[in-house]
Amino acid sequence: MNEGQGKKFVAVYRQYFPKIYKYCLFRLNSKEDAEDLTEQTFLRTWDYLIQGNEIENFRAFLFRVAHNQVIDLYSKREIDRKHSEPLINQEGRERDLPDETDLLADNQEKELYQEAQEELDQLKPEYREVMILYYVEDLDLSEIAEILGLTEGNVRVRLHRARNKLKEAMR
Amino acid sequence: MAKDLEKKLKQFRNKPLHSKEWSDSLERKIILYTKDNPIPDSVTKELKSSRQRQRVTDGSSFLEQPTFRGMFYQLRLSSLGMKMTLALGLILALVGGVGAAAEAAVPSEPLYSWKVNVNERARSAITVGAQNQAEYEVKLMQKRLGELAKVSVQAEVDAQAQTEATVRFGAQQDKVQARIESLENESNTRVALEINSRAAATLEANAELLSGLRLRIPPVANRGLETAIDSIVSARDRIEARASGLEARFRSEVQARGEAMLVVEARERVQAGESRVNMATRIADEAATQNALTIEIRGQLRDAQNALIRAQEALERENHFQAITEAQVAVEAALEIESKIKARLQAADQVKDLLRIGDQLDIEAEGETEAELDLDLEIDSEVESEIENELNLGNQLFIGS
Repeated sequence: MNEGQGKKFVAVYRQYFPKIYKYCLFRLNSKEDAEDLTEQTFLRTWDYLIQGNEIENFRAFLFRVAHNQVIDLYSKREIDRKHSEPLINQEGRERDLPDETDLLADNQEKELYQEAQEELDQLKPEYREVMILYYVEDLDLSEIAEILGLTEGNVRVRLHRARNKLKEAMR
Repeated sequence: MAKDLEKKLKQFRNKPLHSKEWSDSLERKIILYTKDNPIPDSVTKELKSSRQRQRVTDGSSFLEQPTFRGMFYQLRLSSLGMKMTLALGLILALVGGVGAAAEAAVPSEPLYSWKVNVNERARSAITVGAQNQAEYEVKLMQKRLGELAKVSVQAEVDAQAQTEATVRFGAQQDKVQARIESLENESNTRVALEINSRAAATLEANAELLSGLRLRIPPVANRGLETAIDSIVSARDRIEARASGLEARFRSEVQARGEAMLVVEARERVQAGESRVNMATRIADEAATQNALTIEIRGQLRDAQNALIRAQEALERENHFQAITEAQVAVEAALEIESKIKARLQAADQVKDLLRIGDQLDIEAEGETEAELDLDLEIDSEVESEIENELNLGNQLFIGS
């Protein structure tokens, strides 16, 4: 049994779970979903390792797994929405307003978070994602490209279009 | 406004947003999970000695990664007697490797029960979500296929083992069908379609590979092989029969949706299609470098790419229904490609095993030692080159990008 590997993985978890959780939270705006997807991200990564695979870039790998799970959850959510009437914006994202900001210390931070989410809601999902990865997670373009399976050029274009879209929304 | 948003988002960079209670609870869960599912030592050693590394750029591909071939070779229970088999099982249990060792067991072997009732149940228990559970059942179906293939070409076919393997494969195939039905009943038709595609592609790939062994396996083992192939082909036919009904239902569900929902869904599905087709393209490119890409799979990849282009064009024209349906075609084709390549990779290890068993059958039949016998199998050259491709594929660690 390889306990050393297990301990190393727990260290990886401690290092990266805040980022993965934050990414999921910004993308889904749901604490429960973010917690669930973060858990699944790390468990699946361990499953990948016990199959004998190696991971060179843990950060990119974890984000990639989280990204794919978000896509799947989005798809499922569109079907589930038929059976409920949550708050939705024009992009179709659910918005759970009170709980998500429980962890933010003061009202100013809560307000900041809500404003950020409202502005992100103006964007297409693919633009929203690069904004989150670039500005919140502070990843560079090459890593974002690796995570999303795009070229750096594509990522640059999406960031550019996201900014243009936000400018148009102001007019 | 753009700059405002950028500033706002940057403020969250170093701010933790999770609760300590949840993160501590998850850490405990992960510690427990890594202890219950350890990385086998032999896998670590083999990775170090082979110096093979994977550069992972697409995390979700790991779901489709074939089980590392080392795990199939951990427990080489060839033709040893039952006493040796049990002794080996005890030794492995003593060093704490029962779970890992059981992975290679087939019906009638002592550790098989551990594999099915402990390892697989544990994994199933932590698989969350209907889609994940359905995908896991398809993975288990691939395992049952491998076991069925292995026991079907034993020298004196162990009738009990083959019966058990066939029953278990049938039962697993029923579970896959049940998951698909359940998804359909939950109005999750799209996912039901995708799981159906994966399952059909897995079965088809396995049937093809086993059929290719007909000329390679001595006549004495052919009957078992034919029985296995028949089981797989019937299962494939049943699964494929569902596909048209699911597709029709999917289309009518999409048509019934309001325009606002279609707009959102179209974007999401095209994005999902891009992601899936990109992944399938990378997997296929990698398989091609190892001469493991068949003409059929190449054709399917072109179909997937063309469907994606049609979906993207439909989205630009704001024909959302067409964007969704074409994106779905692209996703299913991509899933089929992934499933077939994966099944071929896993089956490649089995093919090697089967070829070794086949050689051993000849040696035993002739009553001579391996060192003395000069094997002289007549093989059709076309089949030989296909088998060579499978062996070459099995020799490489598949790199999914």
